Amino acid sequence: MNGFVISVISISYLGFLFYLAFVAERFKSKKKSLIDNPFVYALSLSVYCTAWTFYGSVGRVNQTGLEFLSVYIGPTLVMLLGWSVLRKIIRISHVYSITSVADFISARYGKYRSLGVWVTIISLLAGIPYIGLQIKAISKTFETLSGVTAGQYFYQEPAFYISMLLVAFTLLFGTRKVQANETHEGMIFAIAAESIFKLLAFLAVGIFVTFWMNNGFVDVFEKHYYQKEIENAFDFEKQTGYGNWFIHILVSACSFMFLPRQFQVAVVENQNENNLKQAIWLLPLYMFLINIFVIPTALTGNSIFAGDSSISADNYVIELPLSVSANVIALIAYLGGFSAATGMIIVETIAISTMLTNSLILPSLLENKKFKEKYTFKIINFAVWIRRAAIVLIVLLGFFYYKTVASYFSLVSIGLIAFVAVSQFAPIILGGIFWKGATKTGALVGLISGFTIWLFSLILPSLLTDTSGQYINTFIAGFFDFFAHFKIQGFDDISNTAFWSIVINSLLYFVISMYTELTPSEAKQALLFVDVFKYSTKEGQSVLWKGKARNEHLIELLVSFIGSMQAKEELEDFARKNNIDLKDVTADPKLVSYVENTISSIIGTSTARMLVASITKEEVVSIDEILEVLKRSQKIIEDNQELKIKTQQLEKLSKELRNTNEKLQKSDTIKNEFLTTVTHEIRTPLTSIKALTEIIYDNEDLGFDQKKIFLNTIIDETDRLSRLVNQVLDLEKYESGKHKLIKKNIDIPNLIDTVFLRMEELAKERNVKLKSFIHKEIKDFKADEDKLIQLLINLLSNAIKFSRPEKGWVLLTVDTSKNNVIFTVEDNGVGIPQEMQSRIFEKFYQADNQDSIKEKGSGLGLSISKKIVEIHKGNVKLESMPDKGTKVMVGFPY
Amino acid sequence: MIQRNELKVLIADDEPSILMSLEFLFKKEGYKVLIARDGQEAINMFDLEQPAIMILDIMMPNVDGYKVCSYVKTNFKTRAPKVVFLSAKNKDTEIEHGYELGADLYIPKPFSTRELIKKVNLIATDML
Repeated sequence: MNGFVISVISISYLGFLFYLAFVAERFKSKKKSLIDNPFVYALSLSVYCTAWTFYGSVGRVNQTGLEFLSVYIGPTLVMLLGWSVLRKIIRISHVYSITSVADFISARYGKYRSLGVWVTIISLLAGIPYIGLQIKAISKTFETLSGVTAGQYFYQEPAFYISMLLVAFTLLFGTRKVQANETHEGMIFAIAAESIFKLLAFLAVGIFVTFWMNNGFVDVFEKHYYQKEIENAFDFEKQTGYGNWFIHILVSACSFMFLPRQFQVAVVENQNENNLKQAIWLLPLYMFLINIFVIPTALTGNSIFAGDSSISADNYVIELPLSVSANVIALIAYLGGFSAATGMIIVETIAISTMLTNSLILPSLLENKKFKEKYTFKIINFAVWIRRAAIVLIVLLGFFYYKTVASYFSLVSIGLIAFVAVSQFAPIILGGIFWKGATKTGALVGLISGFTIWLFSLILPSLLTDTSGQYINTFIAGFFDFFAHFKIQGFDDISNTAFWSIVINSLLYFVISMYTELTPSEAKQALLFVDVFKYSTKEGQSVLWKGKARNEHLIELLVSFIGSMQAKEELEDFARKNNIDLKDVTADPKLVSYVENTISSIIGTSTARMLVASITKEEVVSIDEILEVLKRSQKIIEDNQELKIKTQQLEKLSKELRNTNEKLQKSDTIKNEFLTTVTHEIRTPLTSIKALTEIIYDNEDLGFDQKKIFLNTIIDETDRLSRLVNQVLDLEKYESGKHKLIKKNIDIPNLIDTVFLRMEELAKERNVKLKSFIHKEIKDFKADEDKLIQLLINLLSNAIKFSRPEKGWVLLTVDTSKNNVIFTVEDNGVGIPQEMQSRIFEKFYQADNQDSIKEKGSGLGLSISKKIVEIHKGNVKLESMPDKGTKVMVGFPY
Repeated sequence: MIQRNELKVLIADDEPSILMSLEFLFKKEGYKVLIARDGQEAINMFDLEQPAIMILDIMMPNVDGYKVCSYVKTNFKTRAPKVVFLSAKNKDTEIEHGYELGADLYIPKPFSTRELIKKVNLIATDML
């Protein structure tokens, strides 16, 4: 393929990354975040998968079979089992404004600078080759794809220009005007996109190899699983053993958390602890997907390129598509590897440059008295330029390493060597967040011892041998031969070194910590780190500073970092919240802590510590005082929490009480009204009965006809009374839910006959014509027949009562709609005035215009009718025009 | 001397059966009985006939008994009729309200016909 085309495509790809990063930054300036979600978080963690993963995994299958998986099992275990450790580290880093892993370690041990320096040096020594490895991968695959071997000089090499573009990207999105608590939104978004791209690319190649070059997974194994090497690689008996598995899992777990770039994405750039919760399964899923096709690709490559020693297994991902002239797939593979490599270079460079600046160079400069006096308030300018220079330097060193040293090591070994170096941080970090007794001396000695062992057994032997593999002189040969005695049976070099370095490191760390005293500042940091969940909330921390400081100095320092505008805003806010007067001459200790914390997030804890110390007169705070303050602040936090819980409970309770009370009152009022009305309604017929009975009793001479009328009225009134009582009981039954619905199939014509039979007399009496019409035959309609009859009688008798005296008619129709059977009762009577229509279903409400006909019902008929519909889950609709008539429609679910 | 049969009694109630019994009772006692089936009819009848005694139900459609009472008692102070409330409303407050409006008697339903007649007769005697 044409080298020029590949260059253009590579550069266009980087251009796309620039674009994505710009978009994310634009969103951020609008106070929206594209990266504050679990998916982007998990994808950014996948920067763990570098070119080593992309190309090297396939290569590693050839040598050690399934063991290539161990470095993915490590991170998976961290997410599944160790996420609470990660969460604690995130919380500590957020509360105390930690900017890097070096910063974290030195902050934990009393903001001890030497520790930060050593961590930076180790990270740099492990990181440069690692970056070189990525550049090498880009360069080699470029050669493979284009078929052109780059020239001898650096400027003849495309990889150099690619590196420079990466420097530009990193400068642009890694060191924009530095602001407090600012994360690299654009960079993280671009990295997440790269993670998607490399995954898709690998899947594309894997699918191509497995399903196009072969016929699926089974076919791959049937066709290619015959070679001796492969059989050896997959045979546990012939492999180096479980020890390697264990150690590789261990160091990859440590590296997943503590590699500079991993700490950057997992901790420093973390927007929200909660994103971790979903990353717990998202990251393992990613690891799984990117590894599915590793073995098929390796097996196929091995058999196709068997005997061709010019093709390295590391390059199978590209060589396989090329071997069948699938140039597009090969290009996708190249770009996948390219995205893996560039992602790693960008994040690693930012992380290491931050460390170099904050933990190494700035503190060293501030050691110089003259420098400190002159530039205390101008540190920020130095910080930005030093970091920029560091970025350029780191990438150049990586490139230089690739051109000179890289050929000594294979892809995978460089990665694993870096892993072992970074694993040296594990004892002092893990110990540091769980064990208050750890001291800075213990940490420093442990770290240096582990580092020394690493240097002497993994780095120097390669550098001190000549091309034939012999040590360059006998003294050195003797030296290394001595150490060969410590080689453990069944461990490879990496595992052996990892084992010894971590064991010695931990042992010295532990023993020396036991025999050294904690200084007050160490004790303070130990407490703050180990008990972070106890002493600090997400928002704030305890103030543990004592001494004299002037407000103007603190403000000037803060302004030098974040500008006067932002400083003014934040200070006013802070002063208001903490009740501090900034016009006082002496500063409140709270403000000192606040300023130190804010600038820590920009230039790291050690530097911030030095700056604050230089503008204040500090006093040593004794351990007792620290404990006292912490105890108080813990008490406050606990009290607050308890109070909050109590208040919430109380609020909930009183709300419930209020609701119940309201309900009770409401139902009480309703009950009272109901009772009053019922009594009144009962009294009325009672009055008539009593009066008429007395009349009959007192007037023996009453005429026969007169007596008959009176007695008949008494009978009517008694009926009315008993009807009322029945209806009240019915209503009570429906309202309290004590009713029973006996549903059965309703024969509608039959139902209408029954109802009409019972209405016949009343209709005749009122000279009203009763008519009915069934639109459709309705089958399988289930309802409670007795209640349905009661309902229709209620509706019909109302309609009859209010029909017009001349030519009155009442029509009952039955129809169906979507899911309803609809009964409509229509009359051409007096109608109901608009304002009363909504009320006629209320209990005892009787339309005022009834009196002309003087038809006294109980006032409960329609209420009961409505209830009957409701308990069938149906609905009632009313249409009425005064003097035209009324239409009542009831729908039943069908 | 004016005879009792010259006294007009207006009975207003929306219950036909009660009207029926009251009409019988007062006719038997010798009064001239007028009938109204709601408040508005009662007021119209009063304007037309100027009865001496009004027997009023309270809960009637359109215009209630209270309104009828206050109409006759405020507008016709000197020749206002005697008002007797006959109501199923028998809470203390309701009774008090009736007297406040100027009623001469408040008898809760259900009432004793004998007592009602006795008391109305007493009122009539005062007027004679």
